[in-house]
Amino acid sequence: MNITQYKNEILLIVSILILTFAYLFKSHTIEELESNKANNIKSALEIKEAISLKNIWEPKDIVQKIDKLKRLVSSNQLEWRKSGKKLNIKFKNMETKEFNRVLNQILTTPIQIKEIKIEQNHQKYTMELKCKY
Amino acid sequence: MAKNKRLILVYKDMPNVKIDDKVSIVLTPQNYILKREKLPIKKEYQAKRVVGSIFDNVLDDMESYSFFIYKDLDEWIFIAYKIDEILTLLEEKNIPISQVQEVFFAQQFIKELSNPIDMGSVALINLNNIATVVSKMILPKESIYLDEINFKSKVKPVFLKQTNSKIDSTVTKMVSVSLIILAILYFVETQLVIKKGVGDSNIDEISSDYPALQSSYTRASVLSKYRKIDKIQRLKRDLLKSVFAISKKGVKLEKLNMSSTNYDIVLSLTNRSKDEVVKELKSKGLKVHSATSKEIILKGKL
Repeated sequence: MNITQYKNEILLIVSILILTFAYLFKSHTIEELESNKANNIKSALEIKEAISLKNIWEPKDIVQKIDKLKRLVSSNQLEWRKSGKKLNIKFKNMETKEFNRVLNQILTTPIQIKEIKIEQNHQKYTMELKCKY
Repeated sequence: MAKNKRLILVYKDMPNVKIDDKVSIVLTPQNYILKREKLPIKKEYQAKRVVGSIFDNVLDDMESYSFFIYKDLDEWIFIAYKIDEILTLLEEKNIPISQVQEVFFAQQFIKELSNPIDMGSVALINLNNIATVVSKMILPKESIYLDEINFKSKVKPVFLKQTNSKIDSTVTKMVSVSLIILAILYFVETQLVIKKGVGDSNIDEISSDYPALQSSYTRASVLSKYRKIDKIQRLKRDLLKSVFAISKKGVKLEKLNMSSTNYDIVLSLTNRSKDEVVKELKSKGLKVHSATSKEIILKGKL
């Protein structure tokens, strides 16, 4: 068989093969890029979330924020025990106003509340808080 | 012309030949129509454009012709031939088309046609620089005929390329060029997408302060730890806020005990009805354990 006699067909087949290869290359590359992009976006969102949660629950100024709790009541109303990052606090004989102030501060301070006990006796409040930071 | 290839003059009255190897053939004016013109053109493609007018009123409109054009000194040689006719002749003479590699026209070897070539009752001669088939009767009796052709000029062959091809050559070229341009566009587009894709990555920038988070395992571990803390602490704070909010509206907080897993709350009613308070507590998602007109106890798990 003389191949030159089928030159046109061969040229067309080769062109179609090149086009097919180019199309498959494009599709595969774009698919791979899209997949990588989706993974990157997911990773970026996870990193942002991890950083955000870490900043919320382990802020750099957590010690100063906790120290604010000390200043809300007088020293004779306060029992403060700290062991490493664990904290046991007892607020005693608090008026309603003091109690509200302390509870508000606890709710806005990024400590991890383990246990909290509140008792009211003759308009005086006692609160025991076990937490860590 | 390829070397060591048998050259066969093909004409209507030729005897049958035995073909074992690839051959080249030379066609006589019996199978083509020739026009010789002096034209003010330089390029072959320009000559191709005027080929229709050159053969105007010469060719049979009902037949399909192919054309071969070349320049001989200051003249253009136009040759019209019918592929079907040539193929039929080759078939009649037992010359398989698959064995024919190149096809030439006798006119291409006009300079070497010094003596007539015997073609049976006729002969191929050089008549005013045109290869012509004439009756041997008009030639002098003492003419010396060439027994076999032995042309050595280097001339351009014609390939019987349309013989088996069902597709037009021009269309093929146009379609092929279009397909390859499209393929190039695909490659270019892919490169652009790759460049753009590389530019979009900003993970390194985000995690520059926390390089450990680039590891998916570390990230999963950190996220798991803080998501758990966040969930449970928000739950505890929401519960405390709800109790704290209701204790300002005719309800007094007597006792609250919240551990890591459950809660136990005692509320006393001052100037609100039990049903109203219970309804409000339930709307906030708190579980009422028992309720009397003076006291409501909440118990639940975190």
